[in-house]
Amino acid sequence: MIRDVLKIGALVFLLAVLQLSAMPQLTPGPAGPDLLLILVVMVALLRGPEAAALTGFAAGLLLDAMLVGRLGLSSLLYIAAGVWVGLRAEPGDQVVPTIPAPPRPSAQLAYVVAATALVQVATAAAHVLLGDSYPVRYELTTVIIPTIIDTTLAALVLVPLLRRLLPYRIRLDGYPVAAL
Amino acid sequence: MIGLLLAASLTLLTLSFREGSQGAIGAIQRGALATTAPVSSVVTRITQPFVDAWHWTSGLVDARAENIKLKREVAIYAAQNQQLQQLRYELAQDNQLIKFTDQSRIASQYDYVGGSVIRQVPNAYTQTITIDVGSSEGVAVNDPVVAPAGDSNEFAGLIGRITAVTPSASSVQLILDPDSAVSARIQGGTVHGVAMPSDADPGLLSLKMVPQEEQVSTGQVVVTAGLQANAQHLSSLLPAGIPLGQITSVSQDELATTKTIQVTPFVDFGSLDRVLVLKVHGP
Repeated sequence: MIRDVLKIGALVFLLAVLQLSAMPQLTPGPAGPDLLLILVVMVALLRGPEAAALTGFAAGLLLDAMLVGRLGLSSLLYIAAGVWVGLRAEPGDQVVPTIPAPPRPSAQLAYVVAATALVQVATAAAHVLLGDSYPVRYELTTVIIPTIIDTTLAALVLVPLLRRLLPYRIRLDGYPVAAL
Repeated sequence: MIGLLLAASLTLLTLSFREGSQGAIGAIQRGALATTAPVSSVVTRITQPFVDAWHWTSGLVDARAENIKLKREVAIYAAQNQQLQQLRYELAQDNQLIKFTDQSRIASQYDYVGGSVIRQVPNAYTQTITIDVGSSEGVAVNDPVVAPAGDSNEFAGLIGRITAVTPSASSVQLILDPDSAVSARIQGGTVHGVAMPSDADPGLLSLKMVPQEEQVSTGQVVVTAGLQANAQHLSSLLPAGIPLGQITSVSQDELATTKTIQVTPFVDFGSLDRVLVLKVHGP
């Protein structure tokens, strides 16, 4: 478990730095991939909703701190995304000791895309509530849709990588092993 | 635990709103910034070559795409320019023919119709062209055909006569055709002769049957005399005074009874396009 904590902590730090330092330069257009969200979704799928909530909180906190933005907003959204994915992907009524199959790669990618869309729409909605929103057309064409596309493309590389770094483990009751 | 984390996030958000970049929240942000800045700097340095390579590649792709686009535009503009040049040329020719019809005494005596060359036989033995006006426009056999005279002082020059007519097209025998012979005279004088294609140069005319005693010099203008002839007999009339060409050489053989006079036609037969048919024989 400690190894998982260290690995996920390092990944949060590394992906946050990459997301803010390298990705804006490497991706065309004003948007960039949400690498931290990919991590949160993968933790949710491979380690369960609680681990995903903790990862989301840490990732969001670091991201907002690095951006010198509204501290807590990204955490809130990442936690929500991680918990949502984690709960949806839970094995459910498994008969112990049946071992649930890990989510398929295509399903993992689908979760990443769905979570990105939800987080992007929720971020835009939050900004509307906070009074610093842009026109819907601008949000859609320059932020939401490009971010979903960029994140999907990045997920094609990052998801297999994270699957190898965080191997799928299950408990005897059929639930994924909590990471933290 | 999830509830606790959500509550913590909301608390941070609220504090962030209240304090802005001051207080504990500001300290957290400054700390995070200070911690991550060196790493960001290293990451930026590491990724910079990739970024540069990416920019170089995308710039190359953009440059290539732009190059293809520009080449396509250049081709379009070149074609348009060609079209424009052709229109300018045709306009200049039309202007010359208009001046001919306005200022030539011959043209004012007859009706006329303008046409374009639709077929030209590039053959020294058969110097004929086809034009796009015919009997529907009143064109008749033996009507004289003139064309713009290029850079000379004349506006138009005789190029031939109609030899066959259909409702929409006509065939023109050029004065350079080996079977053509046009009775001619030197403008402003009484010297008469017959203008025929030159034996030496198929692009020139020879003014034949001019007696040795006549005074002829280079630069004089040769015009139609009013009689059209062929090798066998005098057959039909052409209006007098249509410019044919300019005398470029005169030679005299002491043993011969006639002069050898070379006439350069006013019209450039290599680029015939717009023509005017004088309806001398028409209805």
